[in-house]
This record gives sequence, structure tokens and C-alpha cells, in this order.
Amino acid sequence: MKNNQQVTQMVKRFSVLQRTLHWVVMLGFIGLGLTGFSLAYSDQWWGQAVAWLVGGASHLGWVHRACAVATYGAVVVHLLWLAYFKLVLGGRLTGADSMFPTAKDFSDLAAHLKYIFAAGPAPRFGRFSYLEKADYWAVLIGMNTMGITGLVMWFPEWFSSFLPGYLINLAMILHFYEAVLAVAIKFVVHVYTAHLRPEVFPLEKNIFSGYEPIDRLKHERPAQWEALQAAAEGSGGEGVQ
Amino acid sequence: MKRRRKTLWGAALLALVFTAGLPAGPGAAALKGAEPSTWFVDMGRFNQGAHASLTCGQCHPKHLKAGQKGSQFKHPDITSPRYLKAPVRREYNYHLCADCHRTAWKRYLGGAHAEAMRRQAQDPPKAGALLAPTCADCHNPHYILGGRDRLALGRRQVRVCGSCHPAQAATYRQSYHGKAAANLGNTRAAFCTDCHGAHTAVSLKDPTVAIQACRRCHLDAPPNFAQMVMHPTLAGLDPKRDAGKLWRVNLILTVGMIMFVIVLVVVGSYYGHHLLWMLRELHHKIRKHGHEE
Repeated sequence: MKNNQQVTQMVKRFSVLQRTLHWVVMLGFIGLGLTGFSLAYSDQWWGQAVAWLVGGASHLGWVHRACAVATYGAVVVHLLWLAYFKLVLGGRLTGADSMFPTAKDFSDLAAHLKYIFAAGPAPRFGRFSYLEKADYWAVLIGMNTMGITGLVMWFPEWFSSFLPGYLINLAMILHFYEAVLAVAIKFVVHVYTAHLRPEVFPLEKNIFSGYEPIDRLKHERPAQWEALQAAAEGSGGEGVQ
Repeated sequence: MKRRRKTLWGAALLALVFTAGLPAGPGAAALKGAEPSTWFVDMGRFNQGAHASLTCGQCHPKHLKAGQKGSQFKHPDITSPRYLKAPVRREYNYHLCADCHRTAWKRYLGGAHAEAMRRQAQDPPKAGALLAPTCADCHNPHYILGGRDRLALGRRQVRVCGSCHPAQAATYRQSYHGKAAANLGNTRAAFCTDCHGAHTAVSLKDPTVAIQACRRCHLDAPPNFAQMVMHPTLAGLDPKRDAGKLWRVNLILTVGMIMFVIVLVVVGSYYGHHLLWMLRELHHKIRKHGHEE
């Protein structure tokens, strides 16, 4: 147990920008899901209640669009940051410290399945596990497909000036089913993976504070811990901030 | 091995429970509404209706002289044993409505419902088939209310039109128009007659015809805009006549089905994976096993 003298050692996990964008995407996503499904199920009492709260069908649409612009804005800022990180700061977008998928992710998936069925040890995750990477890529790709289909429905006249009109129907279908997918995965699977698992419950603080206690790191991400140790030995420094 | 298979079945079942019913969308429960045809009049309701100021005789004159408008209509034989069993709406002389509602009558005569009426006069439909509507099929003359606002009229349209065109009413309520207008009461969105016309009841299966209706609200709509399918249903489509729309509807329904399967598989496998993972972690916590290194 820690006491006041012995401050828990922390490892930085998320930057201020990353934490801010997480807040924006989180709140934007909740707003999008709430207003979007209230429209999709506007024959249900709860859909009509939300529509009434924001002031009717057209306000429902404008709140949805405002949330969409904010959420997609976070994606744009993130991509701009990645470009800056790569081009100006000379950072690496691949490797163990990145979200880029590696061969280890697939072997981790296989090992994890074995572990779940009690046929092997728990996989030794790095800084970002394959589940966290899947969460990240699902948002990055999903925001773009939702954005495109959403824009088609926002400006149907303009899009049908060069595309067949039935693509508006397809945009509606894709937008709806992808929304179901996104809500079913993000609001349940992501929240469970990040916060509610027996190993984490009740709340994962590092996405809000930016820092992870070192004992949790050793336990949750042993591969990252080993890499940090190796780096510390190699440079002769502390390795841990 | 047997236990493992059981777990897999359980996960699949759980995924099904979580996702089934999602694509069903707005239900069609509120669409029933056509009043049954009856010979009896509820005078309490009649006196609240738009026709309350009329006397019975103004719409039900005793005798029409030969040559007078509508004189070919005869009063049903009251001595016949089937007298009160005949469908009352088919027995009335609707030419009398035109005495007051001249414009509506003219539009009706030039519209698709009167066209269907003429077709059925030549080629009587089979028993049980839908009959082409007369005035009273949509507007119950005894109880029709006057002075209603756009929203009340529009919601009534969904109910009344939907009593013969249920698939169209259901797809309307799944479209943005139906959700905004009928479900959420936004009167700037379209109800049935805003596109199809009130008494003309035109079919808009042909995009070149439909674009005129679109442009009443979407002023800058390009020609392609009308290729959008407002009622993606196979009901009432003729394979030869409506080949173009049939193709589009099939595409839309197929994409919807594929998306449903994708959602089911992805969400099902994620939920199954996480459920089993939770059981494994709980097992470790409760049994106080350390992580196997």
C-alpha cells in the first residue's frame, strides 16, 4: 500500500491533446447517439421526449449536426497532429508505441482467445493492446464513413447533382446500421474493456489524468514495461518519469 | 469440448437477444384507422362534424328525377333480405358531394383513384381485393371534422392512406419525412398529400414525374434527386411496368440485409469475446490466481 512518503510512480500514457480530444469525441458521440437514435426511433416515447427537450425535429437535426462537426473536428485535429508529429517533430507513426497494427497484435488475439478458453497464459500486451487498437481504428474509420453518409443526408440536393439519387437511400441505411454498430461497440464494449472489466473496475483514470501507476502498468502491459526497462538500462537513465 | 460448444451457443444467443429487433424500426401499430362501413349514424358525433349544419335531406334526397345528375343511382331495395348487409359506401350517389366540393370532385375524377374506379367498373375485382375508393372511403361524411390544422390532417392521412397502402405508410414513417412530420410534429416536412396530391393521388414511381413533387420543397433538386426511393417496399410494384424502381428497391433492401448481418456478426463476436473474457477474469479474481506468466 502506498502512503504519503512513497508517491506512486507514474508513467505518462496520454498527452493533453489526446485527453482533450477524448473528451470531445466522448461528449460528441453521446450527443450524436442520443439525437440520432431519437430520430430513428421517433415513434417511441423516449425518442419524442428527447426531441421535445431540444425543441422539435429540426432542432434535433441541428444538435446532431453540431455534435457531428465537433466530433469530426477532433478527427481532423488528430490527423493534423499526426502530420505535425511525423513531419516537424520527426516522430515515428509505427512501432510498439504507436497505434499501427503489428504482427504481435494478431498473435496477441490468438493468445487472448486461448487464455479466455483457459488454454494458455494471458498475452503480454504492449503499450496499446489489439483491443485498444481496434477501438482506435474503428473510431478513425467509422468517423469518416459516418461523416460521408451524414453529409450525403445533410446536402442531398448537391450530392444528387452528380450521383444517382438512390445513393441517399443507401447513405441512410449505412448510417443507421453503422450507428447501431458504433453504439453497440463503443457504449458497451469500449466502456467495458476500458473501465468495467474486473481487472479495472470501476474506472480507468489514465485517459482523464494522462498517467498510469507503474504497478498497474507492470500488470496490464508487461511488454511495455519490459521495453521501458530495456530503454532505461540502455541509456543508463531512469526510463520512468 | 461439450462445455465449450455450449458456451459458444450461449454467446450466439446473447448476441441475438441484444441485436434482434433493432432494424425493425418504427412499428406500424398506429396505422389502423379506417372506420367500418355501417348503416347507422351516431348523431352525437355527427353534430360535432363539419357537416353538422346540413340536414339529412341535403345529402340524401328522396327521389332524383330522370335525367337529373346521378339519377342512375337507385335507393337500395329495403325489402331485400340482404339490404343492411350491402356495403353502404358502394351504394351512395357521390355526385351529390360535387354540389359543394366542386374542385375536389374534379381533381378526383382526373386522379389515380377514379382511374382505378373506371378500371374496376370494366373488370370487376376478385372477392377480397381492395376496391377503388369513393369519397367516403377516405372522408367519413357523417363524422368528418372541419378546421383541423396541418399536423392533425397529416397524421390522419398516414392513418387513412395507410389503411389501403400499409407498406407505403410504414416506409413513410421510416423515412425522414415521416419521422419529422408524423412522429415529431414538424409541419414543414411532407405528409402523404404534399407529394401525391390530395384528390389526384398520383403515383410517383417514375422519377421524371416525381421530381415535380420534390421541387415543391427542395427547390434546387436536380433530376437525379427523384431517383431516391421514398417507399422502399416491393408492395404494388409491377415487374414490367416498374422495372426501374424495382431494381432500386431491391438494391436498397439487399444492402440493408447485408448491413444487418454484418452488425449481427461483429457485435455478436465482440460481445461473445468480452463475455467469456469477463468470466475468465472473474475466475482469476475469485480464485485469487495470479496472472499466469
